[in-house]
Amino acid sequence: MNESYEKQLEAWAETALKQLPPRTAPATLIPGVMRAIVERETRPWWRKSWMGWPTWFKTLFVVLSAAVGLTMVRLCTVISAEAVQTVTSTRPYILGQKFVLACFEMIVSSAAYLWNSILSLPTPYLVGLGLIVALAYAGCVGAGLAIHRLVRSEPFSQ
Amino acid sequence: MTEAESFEQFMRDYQNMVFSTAVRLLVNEAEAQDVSQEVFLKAYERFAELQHSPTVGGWLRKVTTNLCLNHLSRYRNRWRFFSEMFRGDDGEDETAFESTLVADSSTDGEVRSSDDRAQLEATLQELPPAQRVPLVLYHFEDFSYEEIAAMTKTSLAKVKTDIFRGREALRKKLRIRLARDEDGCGAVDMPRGGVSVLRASLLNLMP
Repeated sequence: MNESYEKQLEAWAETALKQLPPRTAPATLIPGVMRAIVERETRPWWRKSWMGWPTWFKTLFVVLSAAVGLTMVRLCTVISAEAVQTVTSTRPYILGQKFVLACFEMIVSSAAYLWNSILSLPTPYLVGLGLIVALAYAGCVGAGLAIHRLVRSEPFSQ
Repeated sequence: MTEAESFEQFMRDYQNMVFSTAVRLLVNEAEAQDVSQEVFLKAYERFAELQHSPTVGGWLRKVTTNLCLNHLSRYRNRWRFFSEMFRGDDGEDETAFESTLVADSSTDGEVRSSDDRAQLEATLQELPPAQRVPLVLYHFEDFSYEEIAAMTKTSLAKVKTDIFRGREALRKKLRIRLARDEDGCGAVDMPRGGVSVLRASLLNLMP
């Protein structure tokens, strides 16, 4: 195919296509958008995404999640006699009036314990652990994306 | 004017532009309407800053194009996934996928129009997505070859080839359609507006 024909064809396509008027949007488009906006704004907060939750609940959620996560990590270390002793010694605290303080202490000590435990691991183990975490994370993201694309998204609903 | 009224006016101003981009990329009008709705919902979230922005048209075009491309790739992936799962053959996927889209357009009521512009619009919609999408992005949305390659995640050479093939297919198919009209297969309203220019320019093109 010669170059002048290609240019001629390009010029023809440009002129022909540019003369096409815009397509008219269906009359149902604007009412549909307005309905979706109203529906979105009147939706209760617990049915919105995490970003739409009230700040106090987001804070509470983060604190509780951290507490649950770290407590579970801590419980995994209870196998050692020292850990058992620590839990036993905090028991009166928990049963008393200083429950929040006890929880906070537990979170901080658990985090410190976890951090020290990780740092004490030999380098190959650390690298291996990092790889496992990265792979698990990538796996979760991949599975989430696949499920979202195949199950949740319905772009052809009419 | 309340915010809702301003937004309604905003949609009235841009709805044809957004819908045109979507329907030319997707072909199916119902899908184009879904995508247009999604575009305006995104615009509503940023309406405060978009309202007085001079680049709002460009923003809307870009968002519409991206959503349409996502939609097309998702449809293609899903179609492939299920076709491979149930049929187990992948040799004819591309062709069959394209033919389903062409079939969709005809069932959408794409009847032959008496207007040459409508004929051109219909011919454009008959092109397979691999040719139609870069052609629309280049000629209607004014994206460069490089930008189209980046958006469609293909090589620059492939974009150029697809656009050339798209133009060539458009020319051939349009010629057949117009010839069919002149043979009396359909009602023809002869020259009106750009009609004669289009026919004459088409006849002047010689490979």
